[in-house]
Amino acid sequence: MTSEHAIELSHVAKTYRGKVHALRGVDMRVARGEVFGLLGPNGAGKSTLVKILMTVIRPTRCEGSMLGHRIGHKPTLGRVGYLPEHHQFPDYLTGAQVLHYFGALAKTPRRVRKKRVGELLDLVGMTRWRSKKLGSYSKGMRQRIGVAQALINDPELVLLDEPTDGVDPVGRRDIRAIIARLRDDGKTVFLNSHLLSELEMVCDRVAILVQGQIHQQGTIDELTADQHRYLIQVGASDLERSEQIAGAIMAEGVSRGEETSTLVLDTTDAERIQPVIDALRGASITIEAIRTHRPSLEDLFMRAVIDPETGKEHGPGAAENTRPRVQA
Amino acid sequence: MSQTTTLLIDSLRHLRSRYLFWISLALSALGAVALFGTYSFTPEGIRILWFRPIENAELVAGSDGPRMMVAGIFNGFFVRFWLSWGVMILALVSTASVLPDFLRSGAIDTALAKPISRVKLFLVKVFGSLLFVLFQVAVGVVLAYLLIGLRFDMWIHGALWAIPLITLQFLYLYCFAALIAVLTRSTLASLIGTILIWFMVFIVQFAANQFQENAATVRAQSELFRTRITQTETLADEENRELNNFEQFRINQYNKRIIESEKAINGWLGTWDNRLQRIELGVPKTGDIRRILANKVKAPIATEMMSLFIDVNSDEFRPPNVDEDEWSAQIQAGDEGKRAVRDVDTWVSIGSSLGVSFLALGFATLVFVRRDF
Repeated sequence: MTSEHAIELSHVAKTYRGKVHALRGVDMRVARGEVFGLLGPNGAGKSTLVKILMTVIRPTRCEGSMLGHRIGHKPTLGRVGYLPEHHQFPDYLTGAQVLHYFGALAKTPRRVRKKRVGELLDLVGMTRWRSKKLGSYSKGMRQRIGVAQALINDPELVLLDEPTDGVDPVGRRDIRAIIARLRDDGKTVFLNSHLLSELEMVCDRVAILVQGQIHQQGTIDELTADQHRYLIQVGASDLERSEQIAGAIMAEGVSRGEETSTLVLDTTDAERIQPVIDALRGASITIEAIRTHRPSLEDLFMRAVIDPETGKEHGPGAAENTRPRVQA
Repeated sequence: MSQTTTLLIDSLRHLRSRYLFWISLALSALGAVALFGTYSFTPEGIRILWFRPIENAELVAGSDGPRMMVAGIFNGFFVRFWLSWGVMILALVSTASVLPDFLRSGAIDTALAKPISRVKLFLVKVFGSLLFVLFQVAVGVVLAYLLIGLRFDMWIHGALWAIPLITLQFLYLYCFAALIAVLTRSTLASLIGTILIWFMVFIVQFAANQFQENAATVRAQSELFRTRITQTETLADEENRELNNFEQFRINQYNKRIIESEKAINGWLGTWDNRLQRIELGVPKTGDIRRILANKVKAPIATEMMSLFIDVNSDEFRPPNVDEDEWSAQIQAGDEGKRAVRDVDTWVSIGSSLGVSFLALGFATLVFVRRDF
């Protein structure tokens, strides 16, 4: 059974003890061979969703498939790699033993394991520590072993929950390189993180999960396509006059930027800003720079987590006894 | 390597990583050496270490005494105090954290995310903890078996039954430890809960055994008194004479005791004996393991063991208001009572104990299978 999607989910819901709605009808598709990022604030349901995929949590409702099989199909997990958040591997095992142990549980033949353990330890830079017990490892080293563990069965799909948690900048770069390599090898990578810059650097597509629902999903370009803006930098003394001139021409969508002496014009249309430039130049205002600005993932994220009704951020945690919102 | 083998090897690695494992192993070996390597039997009697032999006609090398004493020490000390209590407590302490640690969020996730069923994962993990006891008992028992065989030329093959039987005893308790661990995910709760269950089982078994022994003793006494009445009457008939006053007095005494015994058997003693036997059927009978093992090694009962060192029929132990004949009957009946308690139906005992323990384990498995982690 093959499918163009590594993961296809619809109506995924999880309610704890009849009160806490951790997930409220998640629909999501992850294409084969892509790096997909799931982001959301703490308690949004990201880990719950991943745990449902990995059969760690039983969903209240779940339709869909993973690698062509229904969610919860145990044999399929042999083709999936998983790094849980806050994992705790046994301290009494060495790095190599951890890989052998989880490899054997994933039904990877011993002969294959022996070869892959060496390769993976090398890949995550832990060869020198292969015979040392995990009890002597730092958090970053454990995380590297965790990543290697997720790859021991040469999976088609890898789910990494906060893979760079506790890892130093060099380690982060290494993990990003591993993810890029996995993508080049045709693997699908599902990343769960709230480190937005990390996701932005490696993900082909992202989804934003807020209070148990997907708020937005797509490529970063798709999600920001209608949100490009122009920034015009003028002299500090000219900012107020510039804002008045631009406001008179554009009527709306003119504001001051966060940077010094910057005027923000909310439009993606270059034609619309030409009269503003002409007017500013006509008023002898010095234009120091003009550039386009694409919102970052952080901008998208912040917009997603603001409650439109209150104008405030959604608090951490899942929704309690609230009706599902209409999906954006 | 199969998933099962991997999990079992991991359990062994886990247990080996604990100091208690090695301490317990050393104590097992030390216990075996202390109990079976520090004395020998000579033509005069028994020699302790390098000291002069203590003369004892019952313990002369080559007689039945030494075998009885060695089997008695094996069952009464090595099994009873070390394997059944010492190793068991160390094993419970050592393994109490195995399941709670395994069930911790972050530890369990990775294992659950593998292509292995939850039932298999849980049960193999539970049975993996038995390796602690299996290892400890195997080392201690094999060492004891070899010491007894090589030093005394007595090959008590039945002693080797201690390995599976003591492991079974631990399984009875560990099923409850697993249930509490799954319900609470707490090492302390699992340990204390299991020890409390063990204590309750001990109380139930102790009470049941006391009533069983007393009831059996009373029955045996009645039977002995009846036999003696018959013997006295037959003797008088054979001698073609009437019973003399002393004989008549004794028969009256015996009859009085028989009536008292029957009253007790048909009354409170018999009722409570039956009740407790039924209650005992519903608990994991940890105490029966030692009795089953005693039968396997043909260990002597207490009075037989004591008779190697003292004359238990001696007048100095006889209460003043009991005559010699009745004292002898009481000792004999007491022995019958002790034998009755030891006369465990192996399959009923193991079957019913496993039934109760597996019920707890089954419930634990169900909770594990249905739980979100």
